Amino acid sequence: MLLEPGRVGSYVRALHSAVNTLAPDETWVPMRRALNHLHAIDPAVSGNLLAPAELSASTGMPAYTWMARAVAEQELARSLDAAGHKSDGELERVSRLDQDLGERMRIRRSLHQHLRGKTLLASTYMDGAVRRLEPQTDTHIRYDRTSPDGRWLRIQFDLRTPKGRAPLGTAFAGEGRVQVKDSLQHLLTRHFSTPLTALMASLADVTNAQVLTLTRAYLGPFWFPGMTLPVSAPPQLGQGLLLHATREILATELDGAHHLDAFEPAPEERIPDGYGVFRERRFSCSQPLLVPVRDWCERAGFRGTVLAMGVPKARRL
Amino acid sequence: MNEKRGEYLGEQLTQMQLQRERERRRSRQADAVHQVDRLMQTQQALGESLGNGLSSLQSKGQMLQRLEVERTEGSLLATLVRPFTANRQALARRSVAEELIALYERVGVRLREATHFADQVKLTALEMQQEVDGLHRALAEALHNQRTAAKRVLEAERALDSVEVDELPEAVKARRRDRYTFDLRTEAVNLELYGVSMEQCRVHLAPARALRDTVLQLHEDMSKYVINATHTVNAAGRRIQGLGVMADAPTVVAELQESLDELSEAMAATEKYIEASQLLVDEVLPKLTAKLDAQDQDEVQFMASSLETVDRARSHRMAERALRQEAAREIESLLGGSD
Repeated sequence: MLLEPGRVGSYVRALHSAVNTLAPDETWVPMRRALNHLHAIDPAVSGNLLAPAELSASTGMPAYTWMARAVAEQELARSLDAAGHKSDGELERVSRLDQDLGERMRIRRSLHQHLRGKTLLASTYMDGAVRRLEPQTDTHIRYDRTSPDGRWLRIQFDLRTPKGRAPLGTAFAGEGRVQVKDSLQHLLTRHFSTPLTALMASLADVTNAQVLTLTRAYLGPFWFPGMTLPVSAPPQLGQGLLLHATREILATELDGAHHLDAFEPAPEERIPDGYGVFRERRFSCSQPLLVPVRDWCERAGFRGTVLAMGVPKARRL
Repeated sequence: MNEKRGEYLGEQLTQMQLQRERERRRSRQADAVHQVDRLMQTQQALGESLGNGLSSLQSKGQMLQRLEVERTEGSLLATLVRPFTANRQALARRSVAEELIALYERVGVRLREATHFADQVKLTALEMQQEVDGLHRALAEALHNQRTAAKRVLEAERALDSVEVDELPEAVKARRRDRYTFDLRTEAVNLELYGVSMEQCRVHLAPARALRDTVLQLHEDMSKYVINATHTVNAAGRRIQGLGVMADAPTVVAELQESLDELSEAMAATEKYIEASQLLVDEVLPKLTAKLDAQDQDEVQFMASSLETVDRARSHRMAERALRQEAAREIESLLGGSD
C-alpha cells in the first residue's frame, strides 16, 4: 500500500508521537532506534530520497522495503565521510545551476548527518548476555525483527543450563557476552509467529536448556483514518490514530493465565506445568479515541492501558 | 550602445592574457576529461557490483525453488529418500531465506550508492554545460571586439591616407602620421588577438560539447538503469520478506519466481549497461583525449603564426574579411539560418 506523498509527513510524525507516548520499555524493540528510524523516513528530514512511502495494508506500519531504504542509506552515509558532502557555499552554487538537484544534495547531507551517528531498527538482530553463572547458568537472548507485516517484534527468552554450560546455538564470548549462532537466528526467523507454548518447546529442544521466560512483544499495528480495519475492531476506532503495543509472556515466575487484550481472544492452549501466561495490549491514541478505546477494553472485562498522544510536530535537523 | 561608439567589451586583450586564457581552458578541459574518466570508472564498478548482487539474488532464489520442487516431488525414490533428507533441506532452506534477505539489503546499499552517484553525474553535466555557455559568451565578446578592431583598422587607414592629401603644415602632418600609424598598428594587433581568441573559443567548444554530451549520456543511462533496478529489487524485496512468514508455502515460491523473472530482465539490462559503459571507457574517452591533444598543438602553432606576421597589408585584408564575415553572419541571422 502506497501512501500519497502529501500524507507521508503527517503519518510518520503521528507514528513517532504514538511510539513516544507509549514509551515502550525493553520488552519491546528499543524505542530510541524506532524513533531514529521514523525521524529518518520523515520527509521533513529525508525529502523524497527514501520514497516511495510503502505501508503494510494489514497493519498500517511502514513496510520493510521503506524501512530498509533508510538502513541502506545509513550504510552509504557511513561509507562517505562528512567531507564527501558539499559545503553551504557549494550547495548554493549547485542550486543556482539546478534548484532540485541542490535541494536533493542538501537533504542528503542532513539525512547523512542524522544517520551517521544514530542506530536504526534492523531487519533482524540478535544478541545475548549471561545473567548468572552459578549455581546454574542463566542466559538471556534477544531477537529483534521488522516482521513481514511491518510490526516491530522483539522475542526474548531466558535459558537455564547446568553451571558454566552455554545453551546449544550459543557460545560464551567472555565478559558476560554471548555469541548467538546463525542456526538459532534462522530458527526464530522461521518460527517467530509460532504459538508461544510451541515456540517455547522448540527453543527448549534446540538449545537443550530450560526456558525460564519467553516474551514476544510487538509494536503495531497502527490504525489511522483511511485504512481498512479488521472486522473484529469497532469501526469508530478508524476515525483517529491508534498504535497497539502487545506482549505475551510465558514464564515460570507467573501463575495462571491473564488476558488483557481487547482485540485478540485468548488462544486455546495448554500451558506447561510450572508456567503462567500473561497477555496484554496497550494503546496510544489521538484524544478523540481515548474514551472509545477505554470502553472497548472495559467491554472485554478489564481496564486497559490507553494513553493520549501529544500533538505531532515536524522537526528538521 | 558600445557597438555604436566602437568600444571593446571586457578587458583589453593582450597576448599574455590570451596565452593564460588558453592554458586555463586547456587545464579545465583536462580536469574535465579526468573527471569524466573517474565517473565512468565508478559507474562501471557500480554497474558490476549491482549486477553481481542481482545475479546472487537470482541464484539463491533458484536454489530455493529447486528445494521446493524436490520437497513436493512425488516419485517413489523421492518418497523413500525424503525422511532422510527433510531435516537437511529444512536447514538449507532456512539459510537460503536468511541469505536472500541479507543479499537484498546489500543490493539495496548498491542502489543507494547508484542514486547518489547519478546526482554527482548530473552536477558534472551541469558544470560542463556552464563551461559551454561560458565559451559561447566569450565567443560573442571576441566577435564583437574583432568587428570593433576591424572598423578601427579601416578608420585609421583612412585617417592615414587623408594626412597625405590634406593641406596642413608639415609638422602637424608628421604628428598625425605618427599618431595614426600607432593607432593602426595597435588596432591591427587587437584584430589579430581577437581573431585568435575567437578561434580558441571555437576550438574549445567542440570538445566541451563532446564532454558534456558524454556525461549527459552517462547520466541518462545511469538514471534509467537505477529506476529499472529499483523497481525490480523492490518487488523482489516485498516477496523475499514474505518468505519470513510462509517459508514453506508454495504460493510464495511461485511469487518469488515472478521476481526472479523480473531479475532476469534486470540482469540483461545490467549486462547491456556494463557493455555500454565499457565502450565509453575504452573508446570515447581515449579518442576525445587524442583529439584534444592534436587541437592543442594546432592552436599553439596558429597563435604563433598569427601574431608574428602582423603587417599593414595583412591587417587590411583581415579587417575587410572580418567585416565581410560579420555582414554575412548578420544576413544569415536575419534569414534565421544561424544558431
